[in-house]
Amino acid sequence: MRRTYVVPFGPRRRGVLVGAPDLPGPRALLAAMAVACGAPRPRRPAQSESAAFTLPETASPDDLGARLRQLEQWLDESATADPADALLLHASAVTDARGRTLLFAGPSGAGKTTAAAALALQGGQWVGDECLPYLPERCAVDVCRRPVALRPDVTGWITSLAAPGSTPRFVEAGGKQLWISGDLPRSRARRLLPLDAIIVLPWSAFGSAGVASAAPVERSAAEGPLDAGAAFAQLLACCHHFQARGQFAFRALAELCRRVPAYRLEAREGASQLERLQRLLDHAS
Amino acid sequence: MDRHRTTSSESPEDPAASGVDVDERPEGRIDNVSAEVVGHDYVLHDGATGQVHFLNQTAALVWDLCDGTRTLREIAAEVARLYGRPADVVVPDVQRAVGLLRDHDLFLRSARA
Repeated sequence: MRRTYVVPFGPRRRGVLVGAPDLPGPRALLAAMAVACGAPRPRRPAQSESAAFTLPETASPDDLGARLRQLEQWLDESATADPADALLLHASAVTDARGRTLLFAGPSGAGKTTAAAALALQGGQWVGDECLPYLPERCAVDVCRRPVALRPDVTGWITSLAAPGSTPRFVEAGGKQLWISGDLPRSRARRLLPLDAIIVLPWSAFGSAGVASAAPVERSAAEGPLDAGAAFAQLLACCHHFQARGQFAFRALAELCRRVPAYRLEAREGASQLERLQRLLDHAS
Repeated sequence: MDRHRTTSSESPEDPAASGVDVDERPEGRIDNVSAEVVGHDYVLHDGATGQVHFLNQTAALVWDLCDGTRTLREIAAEVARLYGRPADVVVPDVQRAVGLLRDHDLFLRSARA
């Protein structure tokens, strides 16, 4: 008998994670994977579910972090087959305590996941990360179930924000800490979530990554409202498979930046960062 | 994705260094380029190469005027009219802009008038 965990991902699509219970420690591994991906509960797959990921039965389940990374890779590869009307963004999204859906854009290590997770733990709801489906026609994002990966230096702060009795547990994988247990309030929305703001994390990190040295950043150095052109440059860099999606992605992201206000936020994680962000958003509204 | 910001002040100080003569007629824009105005930026996407170019106002205006029929002198005259400046003042800027747009392969080719 196989035990199955449903792992929704991608716009209007769901994948199914399948495991064999006779492997050494499979239940713990599968449970950790399911929690990491935000799967609500194990159940049998429905006929309509379109993709299945079967854990290799010969692989050792000892290295949980490596297996979770493997799962991430599966999800990424499958996500590339998302419908033609969606773009995948290397970005994080959260619905904050006041119901505003925010998109965090920035390079790896800039703190977008941390900021989004912190807002989720402070009365908000986690929407997604890393390969976030964006639907241009609706100017909205879709919920994305995927392991949450944090920088090691911020897990202490994130843990301090968690509700009592819900201490997050992490496992190391590829230099990041994957969140494998402990509640992260996740959006259960069955509809697309229209974006209310784009939050751009610092450009300096982009420069060090050699990505955006020629982007129009010089006039937008201060924390605060960010002009649409600068936000557009940032989102272009965040778009997975930009070359393949070409002019569709170019036009869609331009329209997003014209319609949704953008703000620049300093990277320093902590309570003051969240307070400054709230002030920016409150001032705008 | 490659991205580049093109401004009319980006090239060397000497406009002649752009190698663009005032009687030259930029042959026209390449095909398969999308243009979007986003905030203060005029942004081009070259569908053939995947490159994205951010243009400032002058470069964007020059790009629009380079339709293959105007000489650089005529383009400069139009820019000068729109900006309310003497034509001889804007010629160097237009030369730089054309040179940069050409450097980034945004024209089909150029021809001497």
